[in-house]
Amino acid sequence: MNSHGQHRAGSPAIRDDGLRDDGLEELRATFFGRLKGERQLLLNLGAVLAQGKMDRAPVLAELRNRAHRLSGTAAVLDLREVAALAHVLELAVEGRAVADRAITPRAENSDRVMCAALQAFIKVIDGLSGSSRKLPIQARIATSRRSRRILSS
Amino acid sequence: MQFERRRDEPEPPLDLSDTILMQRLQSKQPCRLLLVDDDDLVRTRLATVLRAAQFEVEVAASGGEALRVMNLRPCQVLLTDWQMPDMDGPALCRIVRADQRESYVYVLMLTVRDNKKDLLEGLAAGADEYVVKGGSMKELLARLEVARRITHIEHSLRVANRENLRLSVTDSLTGTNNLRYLMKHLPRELMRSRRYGHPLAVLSCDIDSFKKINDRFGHDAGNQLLQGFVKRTELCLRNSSDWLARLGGDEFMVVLPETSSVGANRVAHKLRRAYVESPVMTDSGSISFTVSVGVTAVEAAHEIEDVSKIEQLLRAADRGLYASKGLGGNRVSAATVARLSAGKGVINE
Repeated sequence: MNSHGQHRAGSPAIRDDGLRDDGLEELRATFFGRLKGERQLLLNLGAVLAQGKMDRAPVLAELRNRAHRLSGTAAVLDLREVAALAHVLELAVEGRAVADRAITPRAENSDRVMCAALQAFIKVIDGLSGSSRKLPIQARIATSRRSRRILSS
Repeated sequence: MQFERRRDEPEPPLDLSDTILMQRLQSKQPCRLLLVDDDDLVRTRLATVLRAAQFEVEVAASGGEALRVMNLRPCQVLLTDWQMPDMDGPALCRIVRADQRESYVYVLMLTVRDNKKDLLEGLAAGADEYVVKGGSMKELLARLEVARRITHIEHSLRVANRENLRLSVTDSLTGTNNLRYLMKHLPRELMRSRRYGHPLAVLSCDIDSFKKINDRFGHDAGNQLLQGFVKRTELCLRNSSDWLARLGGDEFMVVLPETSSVGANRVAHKLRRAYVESPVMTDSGSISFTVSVGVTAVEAAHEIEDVSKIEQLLRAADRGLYASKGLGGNRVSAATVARLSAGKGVINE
């Protein structure tokens, strides 16, 4: 497969900061659209986990994979905050899966951490606007605080 | 060499115009890179950056597709994600390493996984480099430049090795095969002959009075005569199977696979006539020359037992040659290996 067809035609536009855009903004806008689509899927998975009625392992695996993939894509598109928070969610889900397997006394804690990470990530998605390179300032501050809190809990 | 992920430090945006300008100033070695990632946005972004950095980029969305692309057109660098649906990065890496590919594939693993355990697992699977997604794009490009450099060096070494190998079996004066080639390939010809029950013939050739020619016309003319001898000989042989080797001085061996003694005699006479009818033009003038030839052949059911008896074959051909010389040169004499052991078997023609 060749990705030539995915390139924007013509020469790269010059951005406000004087740098060449080379299609990055377009890719970010597409990614933001994808994130909005992922939002409901993530919430659904969270809801299934909260109900606790079925085997959690495949649900946790699905949630972890989605978080992992979003983190990787965001990182390559230089969306550091989104990448960081998706990675935190991935780690939290992984922690929850480990706790499930081990049945340790920290299972409740890991549940709380995972829920917090999921909520934080959903809020970041809700705060996204258009094709901005950076997240809105409020979302960035919240992201930074939340990820620190989640990781230290 | 481990890449440290520093999410707190904002990375200055990658200035592609700088990169492109820099690369126009430096001429870069061509490098074919295969980018493997299941995310189309990641593929598009990285492909754009890598093409700007003068990599020839192919992309694949899965490990299986990557292997198909690599089999169609080899690549020097494989840049692969870790987590993919059908085959993960380490599995792809292990397959690439297990394959006997002509040239080395430099593997760089690009992943979100940022812990030591994964790094070690990636390297153990055969990756040469491990970079965490979200780090500096400039650092990724710098590491890929290392890959370009290493694969270019490896390519240069491979080409040089191939050339050295060729030179080691080539006679530098005439460009034909040398003694080393003869000793390497004649046993193979003999084995093939035995395996398939086909005959094999060898001609031992020596230019008559070559020393006198050297003394009269000079060594340069002598060298030109040797070159002319080779050209004339090769014109009389079947390109697809027959071959010539210079043993040293004016001694040559012609190997004729799938040729019986009758056929070999015919070739020997054809060669002898070609030399007589076609003098060699040298800087010292035209030189007429003649050649003595000894012929021997092993037939399909010949009793040569193993390859170590190759010496018997060569000695038989030489015996025929000495017989031709003894009779004044410009002759063809046949000798058989079986009769040689009994001290007989030279037939002058």
